[in-house]
Amino acid sequence: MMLLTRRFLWQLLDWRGLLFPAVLFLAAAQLSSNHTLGTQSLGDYLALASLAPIWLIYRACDLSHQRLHAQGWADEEVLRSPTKRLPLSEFLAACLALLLLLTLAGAAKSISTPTSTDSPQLSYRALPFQPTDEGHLLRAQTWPNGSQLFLTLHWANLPDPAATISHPDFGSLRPGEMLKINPKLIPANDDGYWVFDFHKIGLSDDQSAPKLATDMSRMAIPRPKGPLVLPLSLLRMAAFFLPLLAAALALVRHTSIRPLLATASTLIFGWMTTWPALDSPASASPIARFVWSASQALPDLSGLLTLGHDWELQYGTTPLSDLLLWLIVFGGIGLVSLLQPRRRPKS
Amino acid sequence: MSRFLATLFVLAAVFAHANEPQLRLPAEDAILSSRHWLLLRQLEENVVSQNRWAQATAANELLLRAGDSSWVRFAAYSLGVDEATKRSPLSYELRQTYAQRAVTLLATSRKALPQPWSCAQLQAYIIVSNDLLQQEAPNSEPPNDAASALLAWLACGGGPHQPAQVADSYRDYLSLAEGPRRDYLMNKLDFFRTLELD
Repeated sequence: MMLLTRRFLWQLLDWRGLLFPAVLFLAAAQLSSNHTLGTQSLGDYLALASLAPIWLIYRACDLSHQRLHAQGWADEEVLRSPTKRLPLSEFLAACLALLLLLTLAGAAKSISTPTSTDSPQLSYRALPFQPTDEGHLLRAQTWPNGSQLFLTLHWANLPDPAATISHPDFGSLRPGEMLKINPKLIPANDDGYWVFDFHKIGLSDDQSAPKLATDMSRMAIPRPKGPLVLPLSLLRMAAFFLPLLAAALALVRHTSIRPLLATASTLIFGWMTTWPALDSPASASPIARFVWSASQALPDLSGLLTLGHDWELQYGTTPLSDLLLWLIVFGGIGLVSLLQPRRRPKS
Repeated sequence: MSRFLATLFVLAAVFAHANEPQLRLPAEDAILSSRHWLLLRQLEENVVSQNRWAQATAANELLLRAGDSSWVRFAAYSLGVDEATKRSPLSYELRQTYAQRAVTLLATSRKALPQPWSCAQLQAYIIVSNDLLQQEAPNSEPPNDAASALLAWLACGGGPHQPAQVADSYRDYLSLAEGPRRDYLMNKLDFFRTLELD
């Protein structure tokens, strides 16, 4: 078992297997650097670094496919022996390679660009409000801890502009001051939307109700800081890719599909767990709605794959239950199917 | 059969993405991040060569495609303040065109800007300090765009972490009747005219 694992690991991480990730990490570190002409975003670094696990899954599938179908490769007799646990060793070697690559990614980033402290503490995000008769709607979703909603209200008439007006859902409103709300305290309606209706403020004149200025309202999200942000992000990325690795290897082993197709379909399945809710499902095409509906049955893993310029929106938002479901159930299905004896094609 | 199903699944996901770009595909973030970096390079070239017009276009593209808004305010300031003010050696018509472009940039990107409050203030300042829109009616009321930008800025108290004076100004504005409210905004805009935002 050790021999099998070691040999597959060396095959995965030979010079061809390491060259692409090494170049990728160095380029990504420069591209997202604070000191060179970079984008100064950890999300951009993670987005590029996520290509390494994708590359690894394809490479593991390709090597596994070669072993299944080709003849005359090194140690073929040893590795084909039915007493050896070939699929498990391949999976273990690929897991080790994944962890090694992500450690390399962390090291490359830490060495090339030390943690900066000059970026702002808060990141502000525009919100897709939907105006309706009952007020403005916003799809309820999980925001990172410490997020705050800043709402701007336009007032027309007030008996006493200096007074504080009480709202049953949002507390006290003061003209000229943004309304600050913790999104965790806003109840969602039955359709999963937050409703912002400011006609409930108890003023006698309905014209006095303020209007929500959606173009001047934002969600403020604390920007993750500290030495643990990068390692935690990479660890979550590893948790995201592990079940996909098992699934991709199982697909290659038990079906006759090509490594590229196995990798693509497995990764798309995984990425569906990070799809956000559609802003307007009614206006989406039927196929988009159908695939999106299918994705809603999967656990929400957007907090595991925090990539790109809006990475802090998802940082740490995946519930533990979804993570366990992903690792145990989906990873378990992938692993069990990987370890099933392979059906020999009829000759 | 499995090959057919896998292909069908991949095609369905790609079609779904094509119809609804909000649904991400693998490696898409890496492509967008690279594009973000390339747009930054392009923008910095424009800054160095002092091509303000191209700088504004690149800043707007950065905002729309990469969500990076830090350059929009800078580009609008470069166009509407550095190039368009009366100290600039450019012709009057060109200065007006630059100022108008800066205002349009700020107005159209307000919905997407992370901190629209600071841009609303800049928008009002550029309109007033460059006498935009007043050419058509020199003795008119304060320009509507400037007034609404200023009002938007006052209504949010200048932003979430600003001192209370702006909020007080908005309450003062609300305590007035319809006519005096216009005069109040006019006074505020006149004050902008005297400012030097360097």
